[in-house]
Amino acid sequence: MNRIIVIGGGFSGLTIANKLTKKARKYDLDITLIEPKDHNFYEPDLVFYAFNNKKMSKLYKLMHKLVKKKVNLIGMRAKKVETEKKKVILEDGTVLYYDYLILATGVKYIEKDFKYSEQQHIHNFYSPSATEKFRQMIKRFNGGTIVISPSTVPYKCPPDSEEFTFILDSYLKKRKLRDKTTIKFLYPLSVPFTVKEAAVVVAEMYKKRGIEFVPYCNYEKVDIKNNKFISFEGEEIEYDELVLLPIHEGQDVIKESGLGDKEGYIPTDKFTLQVKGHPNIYAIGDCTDLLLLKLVLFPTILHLQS
Amino acid sequence: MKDIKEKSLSLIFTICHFSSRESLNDGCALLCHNRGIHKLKKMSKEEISISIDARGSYCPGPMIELIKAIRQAEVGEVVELLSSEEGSLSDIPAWIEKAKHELVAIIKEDGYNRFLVRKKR
Ligand SMILES: Cc1cc2nc3c(=O)[nH]c(=O)nc-3n(C[C@H](O)[C@H](O)[C@H](O)COP(=O)(O)OP(=O)(O)OC[C@H]3O[C@@H](n4cnc5c(N)ncnc54)[C@H](O)[C@@H]3O)c2cc1C
Repeated sequence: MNRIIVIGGGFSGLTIANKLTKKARKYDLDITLIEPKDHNFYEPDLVFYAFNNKKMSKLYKLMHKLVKKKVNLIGMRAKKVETEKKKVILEDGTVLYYDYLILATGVKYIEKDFKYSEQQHIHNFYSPSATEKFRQMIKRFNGGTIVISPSTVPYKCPPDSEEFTFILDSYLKKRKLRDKTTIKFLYPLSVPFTVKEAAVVVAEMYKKRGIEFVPYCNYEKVDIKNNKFISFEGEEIEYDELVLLPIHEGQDVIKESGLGDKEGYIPTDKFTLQVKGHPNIYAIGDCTDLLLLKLVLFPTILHLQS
Repeated sequence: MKDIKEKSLSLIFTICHFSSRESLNDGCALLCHNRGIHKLKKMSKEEISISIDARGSYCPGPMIELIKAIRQAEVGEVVELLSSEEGSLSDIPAWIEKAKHELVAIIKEDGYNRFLVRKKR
C-alpha cells in the first residue's frame, strides 16, 4: 500500500486528494487529508461581496460534503513534518507515516505592528470578517479619500485589487458620491499590474475614471493617529479609509519542518511540483515559492482566455 | 583616489542608463575592457553584503527580490542583484531613484546585468 498524506484542504489540497481517489485502486493508494477547518470557503467572491448584501454563509461549504469517501479526512492541524522518518506529527501528538506527502497549506496573513482588524479606518477583503467590516463602512461612506494598497508583492490574487478598485469606482458613481471621493491606488511596481501589457490598459482606464495611481509604493507602516500610509520608499499618503491587503507568509508547519525559504514558501520545481531536495514530497498552490510566478502567469492566462 | 575612481565609474554607469538602454549596452561593452571596471567588479565583491541571483526570473521577480534585500540590509551596505530580465534596466534605476538609494553600478555580464545598490536610508 502507498500511503499519501495531503496537508491542507483548501482548493489545492481538496482537489488533489479527490483526484487521487480515481487512481486509488490501480496504484493501491491510501489517501489522508489533514485539514483543521470543518468548511471550505470560496474567497474569490469576496471582491463582490464587499459591495452587496448577500449572506456570507453562501460562500461556505462543509468539508465532509466536499471530500470523496475514499479520502480519510482528519480534522486537525499538522504541527511538524519529519522528512527523514517520513512522518507527520499532528497538534495532539498523533503521528502519521507516509510514503508520499503533498503540502497544500496556503499562506497565512501577518499583521505587522498592530491588529489591522481592530482599526476603524483600515480594511481589506481577504476574509469574511474584514469584508463585512468594509461593507458596513462603505454603506455609511459620504465622501473623502479612499486609498487602496496590496501592501507588497507577492500576494494571492494579482488582479483582485484592480478589480476591487473598478467596482468601488462604479459603486460610488451609482451612489452619486464619486465627485466627493478621491480614489488612490498604490502599487509596489512601476505600473498598476504585474503584466506590463495589461498594466497599460489598466493605467489608461484608471486615468479615464479619475483614479489616481501611485507607482513604487511598498507598504512600510501606517501612522494611525494621522491616518497616513507610509511607504518603504518614504512617501506619506493621507487617507480617510485605507484598504490594505494583508502581508502573506508561509505557514508555521512549513517553517518549523525546515521545508520553507525565509518567508516560509516551499522551494518547488515549477514543472513537476516536487519539493526541491525531497523526491517523495510535492507542494501545490499558494504555499509554494511559485506564488511569484503566479503573479506573472495567472494574469497572463486570464488575459489570453479573455 | 580609489574612492573617486569608483564614484566616477558609478556615475558613468548611471548616466549610461538614464540616457538610453542602447547607450547603456554600448557603454558597458566599452567599459568592460577598461581596467577600472575590473577593479570595480573585484572591489565590489568584497563590499557586497547581500547577493541575489534572480537570473531566469520573470518580471517583476528581480525587482521584488531587490526590494526584499534592501529591506534586510543595513544603511550603507551594498546589495548585488543579478538579473537577465530586460525590464530591470528601466524599473530598477527608477525604483532606486524614488526610494532614494544609490545605484552604484550596472555591470553588463554575459547574458545578464549586475546591479549594485547601496542602501542610503
Ligand atoms: C479576494 C480574493 C479573490 C481571489 N480571486 C481569485 C480568482 O478569481 N481566481 C483564482 O484562481 N484565485 C483567486 N484567489 C486566490 C485563491 O483563492 C487562492 O489562490 C487559493 O485559495 C489557494 O488555494 P490553496 O489550497 O493553495 O490555499 P488555501 O485555500 O489557503 O488552503 C490552505 C489550507 O491549508 C490549511 N492549513 C494551513 N496550515 C495547516 C496545517 N498546519 N495543518 C493542516 N492544514 C493546514 C488551511 O486551513 C487551509 O484550509 C483569490 C483570493 C482572494 C483572497
